Amino acid sequence: MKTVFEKEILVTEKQEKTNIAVPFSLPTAAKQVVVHFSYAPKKLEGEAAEQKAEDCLARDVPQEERVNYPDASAYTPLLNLITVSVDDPEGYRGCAHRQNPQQTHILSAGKSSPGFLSRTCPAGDWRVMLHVHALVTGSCTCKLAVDYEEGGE
Amino acid sequence: MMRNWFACELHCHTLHSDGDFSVEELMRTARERLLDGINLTDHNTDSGVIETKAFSSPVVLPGMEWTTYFGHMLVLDCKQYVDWRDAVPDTIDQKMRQVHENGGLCGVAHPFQLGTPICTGGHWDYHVHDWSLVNYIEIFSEGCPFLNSANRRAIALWQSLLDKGYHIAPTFGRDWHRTANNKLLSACTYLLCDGETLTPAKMKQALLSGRTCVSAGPLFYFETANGESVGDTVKSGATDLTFYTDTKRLEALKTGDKMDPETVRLLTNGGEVVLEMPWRGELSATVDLLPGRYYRAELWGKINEKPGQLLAACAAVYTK
Repeated sequence: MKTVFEKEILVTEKQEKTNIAVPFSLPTAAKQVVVHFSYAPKKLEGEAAEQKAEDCLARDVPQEERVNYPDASAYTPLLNLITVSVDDPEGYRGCAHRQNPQQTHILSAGKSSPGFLSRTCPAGDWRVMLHVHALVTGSCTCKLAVDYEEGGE
Repeated sequence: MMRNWFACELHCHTLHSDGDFSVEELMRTARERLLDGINLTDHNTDSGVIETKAFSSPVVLPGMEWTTYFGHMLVLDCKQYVDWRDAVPDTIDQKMRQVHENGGLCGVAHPFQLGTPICTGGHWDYHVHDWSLVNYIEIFSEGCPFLNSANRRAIALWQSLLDKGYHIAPTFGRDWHRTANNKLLSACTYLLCDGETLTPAKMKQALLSGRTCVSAGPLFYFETANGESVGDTVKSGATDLTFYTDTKRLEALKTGDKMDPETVRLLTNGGEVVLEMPWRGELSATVDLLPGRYYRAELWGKINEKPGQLLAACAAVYTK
C-alpha cells in the first residue's frame, strides 16, 4: 500500500454548511484506493448544547406550535456531522453519509465499501470532499489519508 | 386499461448511508410489510441499487435523498448524476431543472423536520421559485402519520400550492432506516398504476401524474362515474363521486393497530370543505364541481381508539 497523502484539517464553526475539497492525483491505476477519515470531538453536551437546540427550535418551529415539541434538552447531546464524498476521473463515486467519526472506505472494481460505486480506480485526478453538515463544538480536527494499492487495470 | 392501487414505501435507507438495513434485509422486510414497491433513497448515494437487482420483489425505483445543508430532496430515476453538493437556497430551481432534463423526479422530503444541528439540513430552507418543478411532497413523514405539528404544516404547504394551481402529489415517507421503533406498520403511499403488475416505470408515472393516496393503513380513493380518479383533470358540473376504502392489506398485515374510519371529507381551494359525510362503507354523492379547481379527499376516524386522526388523504382531482 502506498500513501498519496495524509493530512490534518482544522474545521471551525464558520465552515458549517460548506464543503472542503481535497484534490489529489493518483499516479497509476490502482487495485484499490483506501480513504481513512476521522474527526474529533463528536459531541456537545450540557448548557451550550441546550442553547443551540433552543435556537434551532426557535428558528424552525412557529411559536404557536412549540407546545407540541419537547424541551431543548431532549435533543441533546448535539453531534458534529462531517461526511465524505469521492470523485474519481469518471465522476461522482459516492458518499458515506453516517455518524461514525472514524471511517475507512475501500474503493475497488470488485466490491467498494457501502456508499461507493464498484468500478476501476484509474490514474488521474481524484478528489475527496468533506461535507460539514453540523459543527457544534466550535472547532473540530479532521484526519484524512488516502492510500492505494498498485496494479489496477 | 384497468388501473390498480399498489402499496409502496417511497423513502428507504440502507447501510449504504445511515440505515441499519442491508439491502437484502430491506427487501425482505418490505415484502413482510406487503409492500409492492419501494424507492431506494439512500443519503447522497445510489450505490445500493445494484444489490436490489438480485430480488424479484418488491419493485424498486432507484433514487437518492439529496441530503444537503438547506433541505432534503428525493431525486428519483435520474439518468445522469446531478451534483447535490453545490445546491444552495437560491439555485434549487436550476438543480431541479437539471434533474428533470435527465428524466428524474423531485420530491420534497419532510419539509418541516427540525434543521441543523438537530437533524442536519432536515428543514426545507430552499427558495423554490417554480413549484411546478416539484413532483411530490411528503405530507406524512416518519413512522407515525398521526397529525403531528410537522405533518400538519406539510399538509398546509401542499394545500397552499394546490391553491396556487400547482399539481403536486402528496406522499408518505417512513424515512425507513431500521425496524426498531416503527409505528403503524401499515402506513404507506398507495400508487395508482395501469395493469395488474407494478414496474419501476409505473411507480414513476404514478408520482408524475399525482396518482397517490397517503395512508396510515386503509387504501382510500374516489372516482367519477367515468372511472376518473386522483391525478385526473375532469369536466366541471354536477358529478357523481364514489368513495372507496380497501382494508385487505391492513387486515392481512395483522399489525394489531385498530383503525375505524368515521368521516369522509371532500376539500377544495382554500381548504373549503364541500362535503362531509359519515363513513358507511362505500359512499356516493353528487357534487357540483366548479371549474378551475382541485378536489381532494380525506378519511378521518380513530386509530387505536384515539379519535380525530387522519387515516388517509388522497391526491387531488382537478377540474378544467
